[in-house]
Amino acid sequence: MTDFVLIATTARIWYAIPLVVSVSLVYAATHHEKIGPILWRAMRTALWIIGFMLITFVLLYLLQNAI
Amino acid sequence: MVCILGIFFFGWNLGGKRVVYASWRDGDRRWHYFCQVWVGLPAWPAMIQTLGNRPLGKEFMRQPSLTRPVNSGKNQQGDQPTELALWQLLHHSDYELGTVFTMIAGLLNLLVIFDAAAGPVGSTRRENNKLQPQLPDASSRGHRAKNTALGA
Repeated sequence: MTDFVLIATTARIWYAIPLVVSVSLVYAATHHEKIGPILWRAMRTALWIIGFMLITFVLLYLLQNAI
Repeated sequence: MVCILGIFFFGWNLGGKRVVYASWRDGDRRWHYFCQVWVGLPAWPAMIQTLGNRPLGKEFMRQPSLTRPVNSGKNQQGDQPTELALWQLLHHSDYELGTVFTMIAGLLNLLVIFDAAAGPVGSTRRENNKLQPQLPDASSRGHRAKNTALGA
């Protein structure tokens, strides 16, 4: 449980937010021209990225506890 | 542009304005710059600063020295083998984060360059070639020619 709290208090993890937002917006802008579909796709892309980050976190957490 | 330049300058500032420089020397091969250079004008001064006289200023986007830096003043950081090691010690993980941010900004701009050159990805396929002009088919062309000949 302490590990989960540490993640929230670690300032480094918050640097991922501008990165995810920028990558999602630029990626969506390469697929659409109008602002509505761009924002919609950017949101979906951001959710994908965050989802993969969570999966990676779970894998690493399980590996850490297994070792 | 706002996203890409914002990420670039955020990362550049995060790394203490030391993360963008061009170097290809023994002991310091800055391969990260190959990603950063795609940002464009904000990253290109680093190439100019590789000249001996550093025309854009002594500290701006300069290469780190490969010799042991001299520690002075109150902030004694111990002996570091190179100036790059000293920079990484002073900025801790912010140096690596700043490098990553500026690299991602460059790669995103590369994606935008491709988008500008070729347009949105998959747009023609999804619209079933509606962008292609409608060409008259052979039968209608032949019919019109026949009527013209009879009319003349």
